[in-house]
Amino acid sequence: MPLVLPNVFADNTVTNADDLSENLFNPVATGTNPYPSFDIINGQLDSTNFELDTIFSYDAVMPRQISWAREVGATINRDYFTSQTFRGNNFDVGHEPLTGLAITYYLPYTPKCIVYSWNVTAHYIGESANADAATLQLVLPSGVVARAKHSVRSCTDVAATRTVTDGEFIWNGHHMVTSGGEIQADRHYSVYIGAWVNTLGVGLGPTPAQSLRIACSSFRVIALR
Amino acid sequence: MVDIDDVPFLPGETVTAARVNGRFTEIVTGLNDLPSYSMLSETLTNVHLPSFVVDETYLGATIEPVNKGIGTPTSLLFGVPGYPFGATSTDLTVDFGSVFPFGMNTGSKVGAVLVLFDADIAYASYVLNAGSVIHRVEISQDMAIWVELSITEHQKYPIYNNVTDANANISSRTVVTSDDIDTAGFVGLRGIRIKLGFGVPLAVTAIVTNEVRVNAASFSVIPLHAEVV
Repeated sequence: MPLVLPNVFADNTVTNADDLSENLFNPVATGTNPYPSFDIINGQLDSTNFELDTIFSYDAVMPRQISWAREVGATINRDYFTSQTFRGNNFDVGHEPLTGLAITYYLPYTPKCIVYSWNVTAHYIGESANADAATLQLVLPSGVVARAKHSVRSCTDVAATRTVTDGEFIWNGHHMVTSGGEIQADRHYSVYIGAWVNTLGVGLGPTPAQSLRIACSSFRVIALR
Repeated sequence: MVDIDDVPFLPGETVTAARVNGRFTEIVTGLNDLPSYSMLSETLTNVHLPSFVVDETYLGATIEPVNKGIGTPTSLLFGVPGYPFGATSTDLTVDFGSVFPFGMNTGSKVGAVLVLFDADIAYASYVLNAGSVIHRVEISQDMAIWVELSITEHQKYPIYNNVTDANANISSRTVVTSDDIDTAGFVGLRGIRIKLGFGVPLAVTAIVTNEVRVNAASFSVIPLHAEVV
Protein backbone atom coordinates (compact mmCIF):
# COMPACT_ATOMS: atom_id res chain seq x y z
CA MET A 1 0.00 0.00 0.00
CA PRO A 2 1.18 3.59 -0.43
CA LEU A 3 3.04 4.77 2.59
CA VAL A 4 1.19 7.50 4.50
CA LEU A 5 2.50 8.13 8.00
CA PRO A 6 -0.04 8.57 10.79
CA ASN A 7 1.54 11.35 12.78
CA VAL A 8 2.71 14.87 12.00
CA PHE A 9 4.58 16.79 14.63
CA ALA A 10 3.99 20.39 15.67
CA ASP A 11 6.21 22.97 17.24
CA ASN A 12 5.77 23.69 20.91
CA THR A 13 3.98 20.41 21.46
CA VAL A 14 5.46 17.65 23.55
CA THR A 15 6.10 14.68 21.24
CA ASN A 16 4.42 11.45 22.23
CA ALA A 17 6.79 8.50 22.04
CA ASP A 18 3.98 6.32 20.67
CA ASP A 19 3.51 8.73 17.77
CA LEU A 20 7.15 8.40 16.88
CA SER A 21 7.14 4.61 17.09
CA GLU A 22 4.01 4.44 14.95
CA ASN A 23 5.79 6.36 12.24
CA LEU A 24 8.93 4.28 12.40
CA PHE A 25 7.95 0.62 12.85
CA ASN A 26 4.66 0.18 14.67
CA PRO A 27 1.82 0.44 12.15
CA VAL A 28 -1.65 1.37 13.25
CA ALA A 29 -3.41 -1.73 12.08
CA THR A 30 -6.81 -1.26 13.64
CA GLY A 31 -9.51 1.34 13.74
CA THR A 32 -11.29 3.15 10.99
CA ASN A 33 -8.15 4.79 9.68
CA PRO A 34 -5.25 2.34 9.85
CA TYR A 35 -1.84 3.53 8.70
CA PRO A 36 1.31 1.74 7.67
CA SER A 37 4.71 2.79 8.93
CA PHE A 38 8.22 2.49 7.63
CA ASP A 39 7.67 -1.14 8.57
CA ILE A 40 6.29 -1.73 5.05
CA ILE A 41 9.85 -2.10 3.77
CA ASN A 42 9.86 -5.48 5.55
CA GLY A 43 8.27 -7.24 2.57
CA GLN A 44 5.08 -5.24 2.31
CA LEU A 45 5.85 -2.97 -0.63
CA ASP A 46 3.58 -3.46 -3.62
CA SER A 47 2.77 -1.91 -7.00
CA THR A 48 1.51 1.32 -5.43
CA ASN A 49 5.00 2.03 -4.12
CA PHE A 50 6.48 2.15 -7.61
CA GLU A 51 6.74 5.28 -9.66
CA LEU A 52 3.78 5.99 -11.90
CA ASP A 53 3.43 3.87 -15.07
CA THR A 54 6.25 1.51 -14.14
CA ILE A 55 6.61 -1.23 -16.76
CA PHE A 56 8.43 -4.34 -15.66
CA SER A 57 10.59 -6.22 -18.13
CA TYR A 58 10.59 -9.99 -18.36
CA ASP A 59 13.56 -10.37 -16.03
CA ALA A 60 11.40 -9.18 -13.12
CA VAL A 61 9.24 -12.28 -13.42
CA MET A 62 10.22 -15.71 -12.22
CA PRO A 63 10.37 -18.19 -15.11
CA ARG A 64 7.22 -20.22 -15.83
CA GLN A 65 5.00 -17.90 -13.76
CA ILE A 66 2.99 -16.26 -16.57
CA SER A 67 3.50 -18.89 -19.22
CA TRP A 68 4.49 -22.48 -18.97
CA ALA A 69 5.21 -25.22 -21.49
CA ARG A 70 6.18 -28.86 -21.92
CA GLU A 71 7.17 -30.77 -25.05
CA VAL A 72 7.67 -34.37 -26.10
CA GLY A 73 8.95 -35.73 -29.38
CA ALA A 74 10.44 -38.64 -31.23
CA THR A 75 12.46 -39.07 -34.41
CA ILE A 76 12.46 -42.84 -34.84
CA ASN A 77 10.04 -44.70 -37.06
CA ARG A 78 7.07 -46.17 -35.27
CA ASP A 79 5.07 -48.71 -37.22
CA TYR A 80 1.51 -49.49 -36.24
CA PHE A 81 0.39 -52.64 -38.02
CA THR A 82 -3.28 -53.00 -38.57
CA SER A 83 -3.13 -56.72 -37.94
CA GLN A 84 -2.27 -56.02 -34.32
CA THR A 85 -3.89 -52.74 -33.41
CA PHE A 86 -6.64 -50.26 -34.28
CA ARG A 87 -9.42 -52.61 -33.28
CA GLY A 88 -12.84 -51.11 -33.76
CA ASN A 89 -14.65 -49.66 -36.72
CA ASN A 90 -14.38 -45.98 -35.80
CA PHE A 91 -11.96 -43.58 -34.15
CA ASP A 92 -13.72 -43.45 -30.80
CA VAL A 93 -13.37 -47.15 -30.08
CA GLY A 94 -10.40 -48.09 -32.20
CA HIS A 95 -7.79 -45.37 -31.87
CA GLU A 96 -4.38 -45.64 -30.24
CA PRO A 97 -2.29 -42.91 -28.59
CA LEU A 98 0.90 -42.32 -30.54
CA THR A 99 4.32 -42.39 -28.93
CA GLY A 100 5.99 -38.99 -29.18
CA LEU A 101 2.61 -37.34 -29.45
CA ALA A 102 1.31 -38.03 -25.97
CA ILE A 103 2.04 -36.00 -22.87
CA THR A 104 1.05 -35.97 -19.23
CA TYR A 105 1.58 -32.72 -17.39
CA TYR A 106 0.76 -30.97 -14.16
CA LEU A 107 -0.71 -27.46 -14.13
CA PRO A 108 0.68 -25.36 -11.28
CA TYR A 109 -1.98 -22.65 -11.68
CA THR A 110 -5.23 -21.99 -13.47
CA PRO A 111 -4.37 -20.56 -16.88
CA LYS A 112 -6.49 -18.27 -19.03
CA CYS A 113 -5.90 -20.43 -22.07
CA ILE A 114 -3.93 -23.47 -23.17
CA VAL A 115 -2.45 -24.00 -26.62
CA TYR A 116 -1.61 -27.47 -27.88
CA SER A 117 0.52 -27.68 -31.01
CA TRP A 118 2.05 -30.57 -32.85
CA ASN A 119 4.01 -31.65 -35.90
CA VAL A 120 3.74 -35.08 -37.44
CA THR A 121 5.34 -36.70 -40.43
CA ALA A 122 3.61 -39.93 -41.24
CA HIS A 123 3.50 -42.57 -43.90
CA TYR A 124 0.47 -44.61 -44.67
CA ILE A 125 1.04 -47.95 -46.33
CA GLY A 126 -1.74 -49.72 -48.13
CA GLU A 127 -4.43 -49.03 -50.62
CA SER A 128 -7.55 -47.04 -50.16
CA ALA A 129 -10.44 -45.87 -52.20
CA ASN A 130 -12.14 -42.51 -51.99
CA ALA A 131 -12.66 -42.23 -48.27
CA ASP A 132 -10.77 -41.80 -45.04
CA ALA A 133 -8.14 -44.49 -44.68
CA ALA A 134 -6.57 -43.22 -41.52
CA THR A 135 -7.45 -40.51 -39.07
CA LEU A 136 -5.31 -38.61 -36.61
CA GLN A 137 -7.09 -36.58 -34.00
CA LEU A 138 -6.35 -34.60 -30.86
CA VAL A 139 -7.81 -36.18 -27.77
CA LEU A 140 -8.30 -34.01 -24.68
CA PRO A 141 -9.29 -35.04 -21.16
CA SER A 142 -12.75 -33.66 -21.87
CA GLY A 143 -13.19 -35.62 -25.08
CA VAL A 144 -12.31 -35.70 -28.71
CA VAL A 145 -11.90 -32.43 -30.56
CA ALA A 146 -13.41 -32.71 -33.97
CA ARG A 147 -11.72 -29.72 -35.58
CA ALA A 148 -8.19 -30.80 -34.82
CA LYS A 149 -8.35 -33.74 -37.14
CA HIS A 150 -6.36 -34.92 -40.08
CA SER A 151 -7.78 -37.44 -42.45
CA VAL A 152 -5.26 -39.00 -44.76
CA ARG A 153 -7.83 -39.18 -47.50
CA SER A 154 -10.78 -36.86 -47.28
CA CYS A 155 -11.00 -35.11 -50.63
CA THR A 156 -14.73 -35.43 -50.62
CA ASP A 157 -15.18 -33.43 -53.78
CA VAL A 158 -13.26 -35.85 -55.94
CA ALA A 159 -15.85 -37.28 -58.25
CA ALA A 160 -14.17 -40.46 -59.37
CA THR A 161 -13.24 -43.28 -57.12
CA ARG A 162 -9.53 -43.58 -57.01
CA THR A 163 -6.93 -45.73 -55.42
CA VAL A 164 -4.04 -44.16 -53.63
CA THR A 165 -1.06 -46.17 -52.56
CA ASP A 166 1.50 -45.29 -49.95
CA GLY A 167 0.28 -41.91 -48.90
CA GLU A 168 2.58 -39.56 -47.05
CA PHE A 169 1.50 -36.54 -45.12
CA ILE A 170 2.74 -33.85 -42.81
CA TRP A 171 0.41 -32.43 -40.21
CA ASN A 172 1.20 -29.23 -38.37
CA GLY A 173 -1.65 -28.28 -36.12
CA HIS A 174 -2.69 -26.44 -33.03
CA HIS A 175 -5.72 -26.14 -30.82
CA MET A 176 -6.53 -23.57 -28.15
CA VAL A 177 -8.88 -24.04 -25.22
CA THR A 178 -10.14 -21.22 -23.02
CA SER A 179 -12.65 -23.08 -20.91
CA GLY A 180 -13.69 -26.54 -19.97
CA GLY A 181 -12.02 -29.36 -18.13
CA GLU A 182 -8.52 -28.40 -19.19
CA ILE A 183 -8.63 -24.93 -17.58
CA GLN A 184 -8.01 -25.94 -14.00
CA ALA A 185 -5.07 -26.26 -11.68
CA ASP A 186 -3.56 -28.77 -9.27
CA ARG A 187 -4.33 -31.70 -11.52
CA HIS A 188 -2.50 -34.02 -13.85
CA TYR A 189 -3.68 -34.07 -17.43
CA SER A 190 -3.10 -36.47 -20.29
CA VAL A 191 -3.42 -35.24 -23.85
CA TYR A 192 -2.44 -37.01 -27.03
CA ILE A 193 -2.78 -37.38 -30.74
CA GLY A 194 -4.59 -40.60 -31.45
CA ALA A 195 -4.59 -42.57 -34.68
CA TRP A 196 -7.12 -44.86 -36.17
CA VAL A 197 -6.56 -46.85 -39.33
CA ASN A 198 -9.55 -48.19 -41.15
CA THR A 199 -8.59 -51.83 -40.77
CA LEU A 200 -12.06 -53.06 -41.54
CA GLY A 201 -12.22 -51.25 -44.83
CA VAL A 202 -15.34 -49.37 -43.77
CA GLY A 203 -16.25 -47.20 -46.70
CA LEU A 204 -13.12 -48.25 -48.53
CA GLY A 205 -12.24 -50.56 -51.33
CA PRO A 206 -11.53 -54.21 -50.85
CA THR A 207 -8.00 -53.65 -49.54
CA PRO A 208 -7.78 -51.92 -46.19
CA ALA A 209 -4.75 -50.14 -44.85
CA GLN A 210 -1.77 -52.24 -43.83
CA SER A 211 0.16 -50.02 -41.49
CA LEU A 212 0.74 -46.50 -40.34
CA ARG A 213 4.29 -45.26 -39.88
CA ILE A 214 4.94 -42.20 -37.74
CA ALA A 215 8.38 -40.91 -38.70
CA CYS A 216 8.91 -37.68 -36.78
CA SER A 217 6.70 -36.07 -34.24
CA SER A 218 6.57 -33.47 -31.55
CA PHE A 219 3.79 -32.35 -29.26
CA ARG A 220 3.76 -29.40 -26.93
CA VAL A 221 1.44 -27.82 -24.41
CA ILE A 222 1.66 -24.12 -23.61
CA ALA A 223 -0.31 -22.64 -20.72
CA LEU A 224 -0.82 -18.88 -20.64
CA ARG A 225 -1.86 -17.60 -17.26
CA MET B 1 12.88 8.11 -8.26
CA VAL B 2 13.03 10.75 -5.57
CA ASP B 3 16.38 10.69 -3.81
CA ILE B 4 16.37 10.20 -0.07
CA ASP B 5 19.06 12.51 1.23
CA ASP B 6 20.16 12.17 4.80
CA VAL B 7 20.73 15.67 6.13
CA PRO B 8 21.94 15.24 9.70
CA PHE B 9 20.99 17.46 12.54
CA LEU B 10 23.90 19.74 13.27
CA PRO B 11 25.26 20.26 16.80
CA GLY B 12 23.41 23.08 18.46
CA GLU B 13 20.70 23.17 15.79
CA THR B 14 17.20 23.75 17.03
CA VAL B 15 15.00 20.77 16.32
CA THR B 16 11.81 22.11 14.79
CA ALA B 17 8.68 20.33 13.72
CA ALA B 18 9.38 21.32 10.11
CA ARG B 19 12.80 19.65 10.19
CA VAL B 20 11.38 16.44 11.68
CA ASN B 21 8.33 16.31 9.43
CA GLY B 22 10.39 17.17 6.36
CA ARG B 23 12.72 14.23 6.84
CA PHE B 24 9.81 11.86 7.41
CA THR B 25 8.14 13.21 4.27
CA GLU B 26 11.28 12.78 2.21
CA ILE B 27 11.50 9.11 3.14
CA VAL B 28 7.77 8.59 2.52
CA THR B 29 8.05 10.17 -0.92
CA GLY B 30 11.05 8.04 -1.77
CA LEU B 31 9.35 4.80 -0.74
CA ASN B 32 6.26 5.68 -2.80
CA ASP B 33 8.28 6.35 -5.94
CA LEU B 34 10.46 3.29 -6.36
CA PRO B 35 11.91 2.55 -9.80
CA SER B 36 11.46 -0.87 -11.41
CA TYR B 37 15.14 -1.74 -10.84
CA SER B 38 14.72 -1.46 -7.09
CA MET B 39 13.28 -4.96 -7.20
CA LEU B 40 15.37 -8.11 -7.45
CA SER B 41 15.17 -9.94 -10.76
CA GLU B 42 12.81 -12.93 -10.99
CA THR B 43 10.94 -11.68 -7.93
CA LEU B 44 7.39 -11.67 -9.26
CA THR B 45 5.40 -14.90 -9.31
CA ASN B 46 1.90 -15.73 -10.46
CA VAL B 47 0.47 -14.65 -7.09
CA HIS B 48 1.78 -11.12 -7.68
CA LEU B 49 0.62 -10.75 -11.24
CA PRO B 50 -2.71 -10.69 -13.04
CA SER B 51 -3.09 -12.77 -16.17
CA PHE B 52 -1.21 -11.35 -19.13
CA VAL B 53 -3.84 -12.77 -21.47
CA VAL B 54 -6.36 -10.02 -22.18
CA ASP B 55 -9.97 -10.87 -21.46
CA GLU B 56 -11.92 -7.63 -21.14
CA THR B 57 -13.96 -5.01 -22.98
CA TYR B 58 -12.41 -1.65 -23.75
CA LEU B 59 -14.02 1.15 -25.76
CA GLY B 60 -16.62 -1.28 -27.02
CA ALA B 61 -14.08 -3.84 -28.19
CA THR B 62 -14.29 -7.34 -26.76
CA ILE B 63 -10.62 -8.23 -26.42
CA GLU B 64 -10.27 -11.90 -25.60
CA PRO B 65 -8.62 -15.06 -26.95
CA VAL B 66 -10.48 -16.40 -29.96
CA ASN B 67 -10.19 -19.78 -31.62
CA LYS B 68 -11.93 -20.17 -34.95
CA GLY B 69 -11.52 -22.55 -37.80
CA ILE B 70 -12.87 -24.66 -40.57
CA GLY B 71 -14.18 -28.07 -39.72
CA THR B 72 -15.55 -29.19 -43.04
CA PRO B 73 -14.05 -28.56 -46.48
CA THR B 74 -14.46 -24.98 -47.66
CA SER B 75 -13.62 -23.65 -51.10
CA LEU B 76 -12.02 -20.29 -51.57
CA LEU B 77 -12.25 -19.01 -55.13
CA PHE B 78 -9.83 -16.57 -56.66
CA GLY B 79 -9.99 -14.42 -59.70
CA VAL B 80 -7.54 -14.37 -62.57
CA PRO B 81 -4.76 -14.33 -61.69
CA GLY B 82 -5.13 -15.80 -58.27
CA TYR B 83 -2.23 -13.93 -56.76
CA PRO B 84 -1.99 -11.29 -55.41
CA PHE B 85 -5.76 -11.28 -55.31
CA GLY B 86 -6.46 -13.73 -52.54
CA ALA B 87 -9.63 -14.81 -50.81
CA THR B 88 -10.71 -14.83 -47.22
CA SER B 89 -13.22 -16.65 -45.09
CA THR B 90 -15.24 -15.47 -42.13
CA ASP B 91 -14.08 -18.66 -40.43
CA LEU B 92 -10.54 -17.28 -40.58
CA THR B 93 -11.40 -13.70 -39.55
CA VAL B 94 -11.51 -12.34 -36.01
CA ASP B 95 -13.45 -9.13 -35.36
CA PHE B 96 -12.99 -7.59 -31.90
CA GLY B 97 -16.12 -5.52 -32.55
CA SER B 98 -14.56 -2.08 -32.27
CA VAL B 99 -11.18 -0.47 -32.74
CA PHE B 100 -9.04 -0.23 -29.61
CA PRO B 101 -5.71 1.58 -29.10
CA PHE B 102 -2.68 -0.65 -29.28
CA GLY B 103 0.34 -0.59 -27.00
CA MET B 104 1.22 -1.06 -23.36
CA ASN B 105 1.30 2.71 -22.94
CA THR B 106 -2.34 3.09 -24.02
CA GLY B 107 -5.56 2.62 -22.11
CA SER B 108 -6.10 -0.89 -23.39
CA LYS B 109 -2.58 -2.00 -22.37
CA VAL B 110 -2.60 -4.51 -25.21
CA GLY B 111 0.94 -4.65 -26.54
CA ALA B 112 0.91 -7.82 -28.61
CA VAL B 113 -1.43 -10.33 -30.21
CA LEU B 114 -0.19 -13.86 -30.72
CA VAL B 115 -1.51 -15.40 -33.95
CA LEU B 116 -1.50 -19.10 -34.78
CA PHE B 117 -2.78 -20.60 -38.01
CA ASP B 118 -2.72 -24.13 -39.37
CA ALA B 119 -4.60 -25.52 -42.33
CA ASP B 120 -4.85 -28.61 -44.44
CA ILE B 121 -5.19 -27.79 -48.11
CA ALA B 122 -7.29 -30.42 -49.82
CA TYR B 123 -6.52 -29.14 -53.27
CA ALA B 124 -5.38 -26.07 -55.10
CA SER B 125 -6.67 -25.00 -58.48
CA TYR B 126 -9.55 -26.56 -60.31
CA VAL B 127 -7.60 -27.32 -63.44
CA LEU B 128 -4.20 -28.82 -63.89
CA ASN B 129 -2.08 -25.83 -63.10
CA ALA B 130 1.03 -26.23 -61.03
CA GLY B 131 1.34 -23.51 -58.48
CA SER B 132 1.70 -22.71 -54.84
CA VAL B 133 -0.65 -21.92 -52.02
CA ILE B 134 0.13 -18.53 -50.51
CA HIS B 135 -1.06 -17.32 -47.15
CA ARG B 136 -0.49 -14.30 -44.96
CA VAL B 137 -1.84 -12.46 -41.92
CA GLU B 138 -3.67 -9.17 -42.36
CA ILE B 139 -4.85 -6.54 -39.86
CA SER B 140 -7.52 -3.85 -39.97
CA GLN B 141 -8.85 -0.98 -37.89
CA ASP B 142 -12.27 -0.87 -39.57
CA MET B 143 -12.80 -4.30 -41.17
CA ALA B 144 -12.79 -2.55 -44.54
CA ILE B 145 -9.19 -1.65 -45.29
CA TRP B 146 -6.77 -4.48 -44.59
CA VAL B 147 -3.00 -4.24 -44.43
CA GLU B 148 -0.81 -7.28 -44.82
CA LEU B 149 1.97 -8.24 -42.45
CA SER B 150 4.41 -8.92 -45.23
CA ILE B 151 6.78 -10.89 -43.03
CA THR B 152 4.04 -13.49 -42.55
CA GLU B 153 3.58 -14.23 -46.24
CA HIS B 154 4.61 -17.75 -47.16
CA GLN B 155 4.04 -20.00 -50.10
CA LYS B 156 4.09 -23.73 -50.33
CA TYR B 157 3.94 -25.96 -53.35
CA PRO B 158 1.37 -28.68 -52.95
CA ILE B 159 2.34 -32.30 -53.38
CA TYR B 160 0.36 -33.55 -56.32
CA ASN B 161 -0.68 -37.10 -55.65
CA ASN B 162 -3.65 -36.46 -57.81
CA VAL B 163 -4.73 -33.59 -59.96
CA THR B 164 -7.08 -32.32 -57.34
CA ASP B 165 -5.31 -33.61 -54.27
CA ALA B 166 -2.88 -31.04 -52.96
CA ASN B 167 -2.18 -32.69 -49.62
CA ALA B 168 -0.45 -29.56 -48.41
CA ASN B 169 -0.25 -28.34 -44.87
CA ILE B 170 0.40 -24.67 -44.15
CA SER B 171 1.19 -22.96 -40.87
CA SER B 172 1.86 -19.51 -39.52
CA ARG B 173 3.02 -18.23 -36.14
CA THR B 174 3.41 -14.51 -35.62
CA VAL B 175 2.94 -11.67 -33.14
CA VAL B 176 1.19 -8.43 -34.07
CA THR B 177 3.16 -5.58 -32.48
CA SER B 178 2.82 -1.83 -32.06
CA ASP B 179 5.23 -1.42 -34.96
CA ASP B 180 2.77 -3.27 -37.22
CA ILE B 181 -0.03 -0.90 -36.21
CA ASP B 182 2.18 2.14 -36.74
CA THR B 183 3.45 0.91 -40.09
CA ALA B 184 -0.11 0.38 -41.28
CA GLY B 185 -0.98 3.94 -40.25
CA PHE B 186 -3.75 2.69 -37.97
CA VAL B 187 -4.99 4.34 -34.78
CA GLY B 188 -5.63 0.92 -33.29
CA LEU B 189 -6.65 -2.62 -34.04
CA ARG B 190 -10.04 -4.13 -34.74
CA GLY B 191 -9.60 -7.27 -36.86
CA ILE B 192 -7.12 -9.95 -37.85
CA ARG B 193 -7.59 -12.41 -40.69
CA ILE B 194 -5.86 -14.98 -42.84
CA LYS B 195 -5.77 -14.44 -46.58
CA LEU B 196 -5.17 -17.29 -48.95
CA GLY B 197 -4.00 -17.05 -52.53
CA PHE B 198 -2.88 -19.29 -55.34
CA GLY B 199 0.27 -18.42 -57.23
CA VAL B 200 1.16 -19.82 -60.65
CA PRO B 201 4.32 -19.70 -62.73
CA LEU B 202 4.56 -16.84 -65.18
CA ALA B 203 4.52 -19.28 -68.07
CA VAL B 204 1.02 -20.37 -67.20
CA THR B 205 -1.40 -17.91 -68.72
CA ALA B 206 -4.59 -19.77 -69.43
CA ILE B 207 -6.05 -20.13 -65.99
CA VAL B 208 -9.74 -20.77 -65.99
CA THR B 209 -10.47 -20.86 -62.31
CA ASN B 210 -8.29 -20.67 -59.27
CA GLU B 211 -9.52 -22.39 -56.19
CA VAL B 212 -8.11 -23.53 -52.91
CA ARG B 213 -10.09 -25.97 -50.84
CA VAL B 214 -9.30 -25.84 -47.14
CA ASN B 215 -9.92 -29.20 -45.65
CA ALA B 216 -9.61 -28.16 -42.03
CA ALA B 217 -8.07 -25.17 -40.34
CA SER B 218 -7.49 -23.71 -36.92
CA PHE B 219 -7.01 -19.98 -36.38
CA SER B 220 -6.26 -18.55 -32.93
CA VAL B 221 -5.56 -15.02 -31.75
CA ILE B 222 -4.43 -14.32 -28.20
CA PRO B 223 -4.18 -10.64 -27.13
CA LEU B 224 -1.54 -10.07 -24.45
CA HIS B 225 -0.77 -7.48 -21.80
CA ALA B 226 2.84 -7.61 -22.90
CA GLU B 227 5.09 -5.85 -25.30
CA VAL B 228 7.45 -7.44 -27.80
CA VAL B 229 10.73 -5.55 -27.97
